[in-house]
Amino acid sequence: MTASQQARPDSGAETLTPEEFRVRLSEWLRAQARPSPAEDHSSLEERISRGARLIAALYEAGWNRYGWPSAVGGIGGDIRHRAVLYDELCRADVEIPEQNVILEVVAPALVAFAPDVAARRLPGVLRGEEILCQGFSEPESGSDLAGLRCRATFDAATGDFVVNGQKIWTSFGHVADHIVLLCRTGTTESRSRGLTMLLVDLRAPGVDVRPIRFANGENELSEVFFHDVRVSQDHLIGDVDDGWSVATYLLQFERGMYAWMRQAVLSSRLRMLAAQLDSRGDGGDGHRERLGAAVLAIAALRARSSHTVQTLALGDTVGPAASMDKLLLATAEHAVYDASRDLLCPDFALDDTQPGILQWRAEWFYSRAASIYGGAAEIQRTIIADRVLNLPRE
Amino acid sequence: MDNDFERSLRDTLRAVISESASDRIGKELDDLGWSELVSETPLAFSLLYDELGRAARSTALIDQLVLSELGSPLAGCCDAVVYQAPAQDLRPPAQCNVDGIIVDGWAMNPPDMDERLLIWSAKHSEQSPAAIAITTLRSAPGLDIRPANTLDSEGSWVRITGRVLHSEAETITDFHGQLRDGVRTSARRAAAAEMAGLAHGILGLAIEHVATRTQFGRPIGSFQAVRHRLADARTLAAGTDALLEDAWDTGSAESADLALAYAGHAHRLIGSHCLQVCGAMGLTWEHDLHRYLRRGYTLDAAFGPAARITEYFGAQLIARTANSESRHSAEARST
Repeated sequence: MTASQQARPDSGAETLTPEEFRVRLSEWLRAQARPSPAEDHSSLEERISRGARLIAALYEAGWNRYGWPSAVGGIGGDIRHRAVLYDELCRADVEIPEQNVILEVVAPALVAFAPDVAARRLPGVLRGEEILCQGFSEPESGSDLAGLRCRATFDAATGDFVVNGQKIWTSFGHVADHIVLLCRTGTTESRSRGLTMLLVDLRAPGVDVRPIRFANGENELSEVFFHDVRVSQDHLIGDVDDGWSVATYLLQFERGMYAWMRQAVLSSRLRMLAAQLDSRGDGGDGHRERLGAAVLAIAALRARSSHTVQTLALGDTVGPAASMDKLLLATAEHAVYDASRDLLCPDFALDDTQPGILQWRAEWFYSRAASIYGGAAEIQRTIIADRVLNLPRE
Repeated sequence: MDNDFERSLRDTLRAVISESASDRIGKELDDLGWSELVSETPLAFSLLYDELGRAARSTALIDQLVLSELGSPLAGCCDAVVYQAPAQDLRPPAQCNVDGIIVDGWAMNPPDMDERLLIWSAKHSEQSPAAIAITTLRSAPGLDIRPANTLDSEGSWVRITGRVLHSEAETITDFHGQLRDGVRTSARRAAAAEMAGLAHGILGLAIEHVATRTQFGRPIGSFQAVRHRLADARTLAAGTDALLEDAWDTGSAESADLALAYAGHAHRLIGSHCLQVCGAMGLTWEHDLHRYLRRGYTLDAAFGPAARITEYFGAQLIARTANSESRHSAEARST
């Protein structure tokens, strides 16, 4: 993409409202050369480099700097501007850079709990030059996050933390530069009270990142090993032993903004599915009902996550009710991709030379993770039962 | 509407609804100045339908929203609405031809002889555009009224069939169907709001039951299988509420259709989760659950049904894609 002069936002001038931003951005997107249709299927690494080029173009024109404070390379506005950015990209059928998925989950916590770290790292991320990832889960701590064991020990002599342990299921770990790492500083029994959040350079000595081949054949995830990795204390995010607050804050954005991004992507993918069915002359009766059910699932997710994003924009806390957003997200993911599997039958299973099939297959497998990552659906249901419905405890 | 106002309005509505017979609720609200309230705060309607649903009260008050949202030239011309048969796209209930309008629809209440009925007809053919007719039972002797045998056994639904001659009604040609769409949108939004209320009401009954019913020495609401079903039910209700909020905000036909279709599916699923966890007690006449199901299924059938609207959204998606593809290729050819 090349930057077009006439429609770019006036950096430094009065901040555009989200609606003005939407109008100008969509004008700009229309003025861009339509990206050549992506080759049938691309690896994660290819998508990451395509994403980096798009981020650089958006940065150059100013669009992805909206919604971030100037201290981190932004030009003001709030989360609603970012929500509009993703919505409009998908409306124009432009793929959201994978990098931004993690950016949206971790960066708000960096800005809130570690402004200095944010000011050092985020400008490079917004330019598309650096990639962040998030290290929470461990082999023995999936849904039971508070039981995690990766340890950070403070070395008073050097003023560094020394990190030892292992993380797993780290999205984009093998292409990332830094990891937002939740580690144990208290005793194992301290559960959520003895955790600390650090930003760790993945190029530091003692870090070993190994990609995990996901069920779709892609390197979506990694495991990350830490052996005596030294992290200076100015990489602390929040206070020592207060990592749970940072994690809780961060998860609000995963429930809110990540869900919003996905509804935009899912709408775009569902349009693609309808177009493919139509071009196969395949608009059967059962198809209409399946597609319609997916439209409804996405609409509910959109309405709900829009509400959550507005709440976050006001600076209010998103409570346990956000677990319902998470369940609606998984429902919508499954509705869209199960429809692709079933309606593109038999090619989905039998013939990957047909257009788009490789991508549908890869994404179908990834959609199954939607009821697992960020707290499995069962954890969300328990939160809703306890804290929204106030049912008798188990 | 701020939170305090909403709370006090809900309290008032709850009191009126619980203290009045179903056919008196509208009158009681009028005495409290309902029409002034909704002319200033139309969103009060959203609370009214929600509260009616939560109490499972079968009224004809959906008409009120439809009538209040009628724009020119219909505003103030009618007292009650004759709704189309649900399978409108297969079997237009009210067809307009040279002699008059053939009517096949429902009203939520038996009309008086002199109530002005709003009847809309589908487009019959290219030659005969759709029309809206306003008439009374007295002026249109060809209309036949009989009680409808609906599942909503507390409702007063009536079936209205027959023919209205052009000379017996004031007829307004509805060239592009906007008048009809407006009526349908208002009715669907109101019905969706009531169904959302029904869903919350069902959940409330189930929560109460599982918190008090004890088996194996503990409340059954402490078993994960029960808790998770109710968490899913609550999530469906949240999805309905969010879509309804959009529908009230925008007032668009699409948002009302989305809300009603989602509300219909959600009500069914919430109903089956809650019936299950209420056990045999939930299947007795004495337990209120069946009232919530009866009313909900009836609203869905009369104003949806959800399955049909869902199919329509699927068809729309394919049609829009096809249009935009042909537009793209047309652009490509012209450049």
